[in-house]
Amino acid sequence: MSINQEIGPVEDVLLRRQELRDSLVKLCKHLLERLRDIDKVLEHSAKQDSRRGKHYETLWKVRIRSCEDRIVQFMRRVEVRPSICTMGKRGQGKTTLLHSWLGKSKSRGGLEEILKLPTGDYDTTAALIRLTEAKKHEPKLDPRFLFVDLISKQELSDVTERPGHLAESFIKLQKQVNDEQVEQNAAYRICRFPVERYEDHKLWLDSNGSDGYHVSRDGSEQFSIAQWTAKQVSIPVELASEKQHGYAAKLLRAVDVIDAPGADSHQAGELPMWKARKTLMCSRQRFEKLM
Amino acid sequence: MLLTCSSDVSAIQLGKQFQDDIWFPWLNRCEGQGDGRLIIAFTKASVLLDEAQKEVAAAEEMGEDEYTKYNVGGGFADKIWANAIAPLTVHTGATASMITPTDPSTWPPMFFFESDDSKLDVFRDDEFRAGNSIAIANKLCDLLGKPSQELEVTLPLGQKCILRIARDWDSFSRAQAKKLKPIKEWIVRAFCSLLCPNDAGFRSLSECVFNYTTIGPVARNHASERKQDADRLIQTFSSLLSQLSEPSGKEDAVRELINANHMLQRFWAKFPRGIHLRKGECCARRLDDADANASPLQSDFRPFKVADVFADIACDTIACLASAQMNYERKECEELERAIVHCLQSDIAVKRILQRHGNAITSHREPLLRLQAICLERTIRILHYLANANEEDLRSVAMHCYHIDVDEADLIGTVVGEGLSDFSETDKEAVLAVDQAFQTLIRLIDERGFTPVYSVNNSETLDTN
Repeated sequence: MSINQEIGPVEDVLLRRQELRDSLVKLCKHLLERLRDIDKVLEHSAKQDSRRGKHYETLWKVRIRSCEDRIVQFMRRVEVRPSICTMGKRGQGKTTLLHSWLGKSKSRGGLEEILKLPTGDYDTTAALIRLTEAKKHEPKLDPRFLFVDLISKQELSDVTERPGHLAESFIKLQKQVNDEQVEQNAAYRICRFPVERYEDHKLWLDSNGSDGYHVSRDGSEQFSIAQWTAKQVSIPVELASEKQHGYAAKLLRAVDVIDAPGADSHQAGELPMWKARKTLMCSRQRFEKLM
Repeated sequence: MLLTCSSDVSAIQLGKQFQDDIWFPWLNRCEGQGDGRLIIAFTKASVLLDEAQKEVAAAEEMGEDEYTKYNVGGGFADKIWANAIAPLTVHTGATASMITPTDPSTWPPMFFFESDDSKLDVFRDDEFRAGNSIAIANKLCDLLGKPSQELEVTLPLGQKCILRIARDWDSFSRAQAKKLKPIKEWIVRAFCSLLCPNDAGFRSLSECVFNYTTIGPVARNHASERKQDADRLIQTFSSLLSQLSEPSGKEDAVRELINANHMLQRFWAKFPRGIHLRKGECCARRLDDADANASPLQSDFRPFKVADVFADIACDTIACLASAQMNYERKECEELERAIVHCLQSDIAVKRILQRHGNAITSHREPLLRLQAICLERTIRILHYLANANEEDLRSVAMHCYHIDVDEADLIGTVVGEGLSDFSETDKEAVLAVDQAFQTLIRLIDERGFTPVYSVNNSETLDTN
């Protein structure tokens, strides 16, 4: 492969890749259905006799749940497209590189949304930030939202000084801000740790029911808690032509791009230990999520 | 992985923390399969061009030969090698390294970027501004293989600097010059791409990532890993089905015990005082065997096992029952024999005798006599127990003496009964669909013919306008 080699259309490859993904999802769904059928019969049999019930509860139910868990985990992996992830020490220009590469510029086009990713502060990127192609008919790729995985209470349990937790381990956050008093790109601040001078602590998450949360001056949950505990933020982006969206248009149709926290986060500022450990956790988790 | 590191001398070094926290886990994750799993992006690349500018000026002032004489090592090649590539060749020992120091073809593709575009202006001549970076790159690559010529003196500053950075690899001693040629050419093209105002290096990076992930090793690895995971999942599911359909022996054991129970109940109905059990021919013959085994003459040796002693007891028991003028079928006698043997094998008193005497039982009369006596005593109790056992008792015997969990066998028997424990046609169809989709994708990827980044015969055909 030469440095500027253009390989021509790859629609056929992408189509076959989609077919493999579909067949794997179908297989998983089929196996889950089979397990459910088996479980139903076992459960019915278990109800008829307490000794069988004991065997069911202690042995077979556990075996079946474990098998189901593996399938569900695999299904999640199947959904993940090939990914490229930035890596490197703090301040080496990882997020800045993504801004220049995929963000909107006069000469090359690009995505305006990329420019909303925070840069410029110490340890700016605080979670894995996954840029992926939006698909309106797929709920988890809805371009109106940021999809945020949060650290649960059980994770990093050995860190004593820690922020609070939201009740959920996953939230949908509306990209659009409806509150005039709140900066328009405020939702994207979920990608970094709270910064005092931006008054992140004055922001709240207001629930919109099934439409997730939006960032507001009032709400039920503190936005900064979500900032402290976000471990992955998925950003589905709508893609137009290469003329309009530059390299991002072609690239994000085939691959997810992940921005990661610096590899050498140190204990500094508020909740220093939490900061360092969370960053390390995100660094490690990227390997599971990649490829 | 897009490894981003600054070209700035104070920040370029990757460091140990990076190795421990990122690189080693990444090596583990990739299981040594490195192709396509790493790209290096050097940011703040104007720093490299600035340094090259100083070197060009110094060389022109002193003359190339004189300058080379006094400037050995510490150049661009060493800098990139020592700070960025060498740390990546280190591995933990548990996994293979992705990168071989002496084989540049295993090195990751390198790109150069500058976030402050104005810093590049001084290095851009009209040709770059016109977007002719491919033509410039081709020209500079031609010059790479030749000794410094007068022509080079007339080159614009940016092109001279690029040539200087690439030529610095000539003094790099860790790999053969022939193998370094693609690296030098790559660097020329990467910098030319950087200095093209409409490109700034991103077109090349985009194409590289796109190629890797659609028709290259990343695409292949992505598909293969999912296929392997799917295979493992199917194996787990099949193993679960096997556990469900594994013959438990439950039916045989329960039938055996119920028949023994019926047979003994008939006996007890006729002889309410029970059975007078005594040693018979089988036990007597076994004692002779033990006597023979006690002899020093090897020719007299008649080997037997403890299980044979239990079988003797069972056999003599059946003979005693038969002598009571009852009509027994051969099959039910055999079933009772097996039940007695199973019960004796699990009997605590019998186990203790065996523990005490060990191998002496098969070669000495006394311990064998003692074992036979205790077995007879236990058999009387076993027969009595079996004769009076209800269903619950028989399940208990199956569990403790046949080591069969009747409850579990009943539980999973329902799944077997519903025909759910077999690997069905629909299961096979789902697996086949995955196999076919995988093969089709891999075939297509192979047909597109991806070549590694540092292949020797790179040719440029595209313009970066």
